[in-house]
Amino acid sequence: MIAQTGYAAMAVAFVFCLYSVAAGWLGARRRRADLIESAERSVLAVVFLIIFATGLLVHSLVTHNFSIEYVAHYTSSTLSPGYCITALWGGQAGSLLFWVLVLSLFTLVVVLQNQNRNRQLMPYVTSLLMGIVGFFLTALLFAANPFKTISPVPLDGQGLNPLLQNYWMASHPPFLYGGYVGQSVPFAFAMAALITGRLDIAWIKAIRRWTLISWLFLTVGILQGSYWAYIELGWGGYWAWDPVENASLMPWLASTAFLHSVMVQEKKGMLKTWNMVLVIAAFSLSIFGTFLTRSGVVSSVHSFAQSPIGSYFIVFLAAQIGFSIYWLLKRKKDLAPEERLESFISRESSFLFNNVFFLVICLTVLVGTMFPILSEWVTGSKVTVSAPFFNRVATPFAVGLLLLTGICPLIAWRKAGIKNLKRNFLTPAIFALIVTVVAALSGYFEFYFLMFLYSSLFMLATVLLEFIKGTGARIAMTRESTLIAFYQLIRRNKRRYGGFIIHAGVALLFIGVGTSSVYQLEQEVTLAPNQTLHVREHTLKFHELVTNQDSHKEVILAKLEVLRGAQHIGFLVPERHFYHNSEQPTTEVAIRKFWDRDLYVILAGWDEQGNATFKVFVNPFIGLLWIGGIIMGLGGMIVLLPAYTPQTITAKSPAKGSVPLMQQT
Amino acid sequence: MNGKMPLMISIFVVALATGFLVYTGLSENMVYYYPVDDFVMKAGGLHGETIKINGKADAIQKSQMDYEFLVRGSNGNQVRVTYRGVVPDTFKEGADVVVEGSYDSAEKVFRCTTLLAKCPTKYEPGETKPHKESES
Repeated sequence: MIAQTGYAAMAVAFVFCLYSVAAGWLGARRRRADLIESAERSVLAVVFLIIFATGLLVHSLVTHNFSIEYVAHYTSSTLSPGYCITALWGGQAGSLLFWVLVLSLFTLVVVLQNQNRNRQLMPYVTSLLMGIVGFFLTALLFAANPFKTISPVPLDGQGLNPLLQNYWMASHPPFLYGGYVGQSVPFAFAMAALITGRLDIAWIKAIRRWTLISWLFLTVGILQGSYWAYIELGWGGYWAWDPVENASLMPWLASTAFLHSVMVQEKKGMLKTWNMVLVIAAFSLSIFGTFLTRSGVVSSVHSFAQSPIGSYFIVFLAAQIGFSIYWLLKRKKDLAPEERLESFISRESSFLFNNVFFLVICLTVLVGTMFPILSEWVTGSKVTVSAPFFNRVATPFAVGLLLLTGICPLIAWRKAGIKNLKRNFLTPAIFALIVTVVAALSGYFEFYFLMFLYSSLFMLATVLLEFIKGTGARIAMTRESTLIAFYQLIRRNKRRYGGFIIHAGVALLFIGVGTSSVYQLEQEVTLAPNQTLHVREHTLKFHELVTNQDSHKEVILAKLEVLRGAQHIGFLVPERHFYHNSEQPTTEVAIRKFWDRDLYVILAGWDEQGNATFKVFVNPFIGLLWIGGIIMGLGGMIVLLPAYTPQTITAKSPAKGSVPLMQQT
Repeated sequence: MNGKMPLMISIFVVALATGFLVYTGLSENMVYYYPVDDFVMKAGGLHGETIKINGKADAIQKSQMDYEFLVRGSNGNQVRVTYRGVVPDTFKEGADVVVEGSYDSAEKVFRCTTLLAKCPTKYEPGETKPHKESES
């Protein structure tokens, strides 16, 4: 009964969705306010029906309704209720439903936000967003029905893969989907602007928050996914350039490029076509990312034909890209720049290079990810490229981007003189150089490490200097205390200073990436009880192997004592779990975090005599990667804070509103 | 200073650099990928070259960290594979595997350096993970 109701809810939602697409479009063409209004009201019906359908699926998951195939496939009666809910995005059909749920909620928010704004754009925006919802509903209704029943009803489900029973695994897909889905809103506004020919700054203002929110979701999702890989997968790293990882990186790159180049359009009226292309690319890559994740096209083992959903996505992508290009070409002449580039040494050109670099990295990732398929088309045999290819091409551009991140926000618009350059960049450049030389002289002279170190420190120093100068200027003007001046500096110009905080996070992240990837130490060793292993200044002493049993698994664990000299620091206990209802064992990594390194130990094997084989990694400064990521997230949230409105009561000093330094942006 | 010229030159340089990096990156890291059945047909010509083979793992034998197993294709072709190192959790009989390494046509054995395995029943995107043979 639940299955039929759920399917029916999706089907009715689909009908409302089609109606909304048509009514919105026609309403806009024929200027019929009644049609436009009913299109917007249909959104409400769609949202309600999809919430209802999702609710039914979640209910079935939690109540172990194994007559529904999806429930039987991804959960079992022993699975905890929390993971039963997260199984909603554990499989293909469920995650598509989740996609639709998020997108229809976003659409509703857009409709409510714009009741009295952007009225010319809105009918098309509604129509396009409902069109995207309609596509996903088509896939759900005809190719991946989450409410499909099975008979005979199995006694128990197959359960969720133990590898996936992890907090970060459960929480990162919704963030990524939020990020993917969020790209739809800017896309819809961009297309509406093209269709109506209203190419002024209004559409950009309307989507500013949406691009940032979806960027933030993607950032957090990618970092959480990396963290999951690091603590759960047990190969000592966090990023393998796997197609699924690349799928999330590409829209991130495109939307990061857009967030930057849009400032050039706002300020100078340049790069209009380029921005359109970036918005379209970010959305296409999000759809493409969902497609890669869900169809398994390029994952080396699964072939194209195995999932029927693939062809739906290909058709949708082709239609969407064709549609976008058509309108882009049609409005080409309205997108002409209002100003020309005056000087090579200017903020405009540094923005341009920032974008070129993002684009190059994005295309490289795209080509590398699709290489097996492309090469099969061209030569008939599959050729794969692996991590070293991506590292080789992306690393120089990443270093370039880090340097530009330092330069871009501070170099003058139009044309920068020597004075401007000297004032903003001389100190950071010298500071970074000194630290880099010191690092090189202390024996750390790997080329790419030094490059990452120099560029990140340079950028970090420009940011810190800017905060110091800004706070100093406020103190001089308003006589506020340091902390208040610092707070007000950020609060009153959150976009600029929030951006700086994000940049600082990026700098830390890349110092962590550079150090941990260049100076990672990897050792494999078999130890008998009471034998020791020296790892840099630490000693690992193997105590014993222990076997524990509980009702659903057998656990083998190895007790390792960590010593520094003779001083006891703690225990590391890597484990292997053997679940009774799954043939697949899971590896539980043991990680000991120090301020400057992680000790990372995997139990690789053992024998009857009680000897155990370990794989030991030392990852120097990897903590900076996660700290940098958290700072990026915080910076993003600061930019998203509501705009500052001066309070009349606290306006004791009229100078407050006119601090010139902060009005520059 | 005119903005156009240096800009064009720089973009040209970026394009050249990209081309160079992509070209050398590809030529150094390109690895041919064969299903077992295709591989068996060409096996003689592939001696020593780094390649990837895809098939189903079978007859897994293990002693400590040393593994020896067969990779079978759908037409009954098979290759003997040796591997030393940590195997992914998903590696077991019947699992879809991709082995990267080189073929020793004299010994008729494929020496695998990187092993990828995917659980055939409960595939989820995050499951695949590379396991590198360690140097020690």
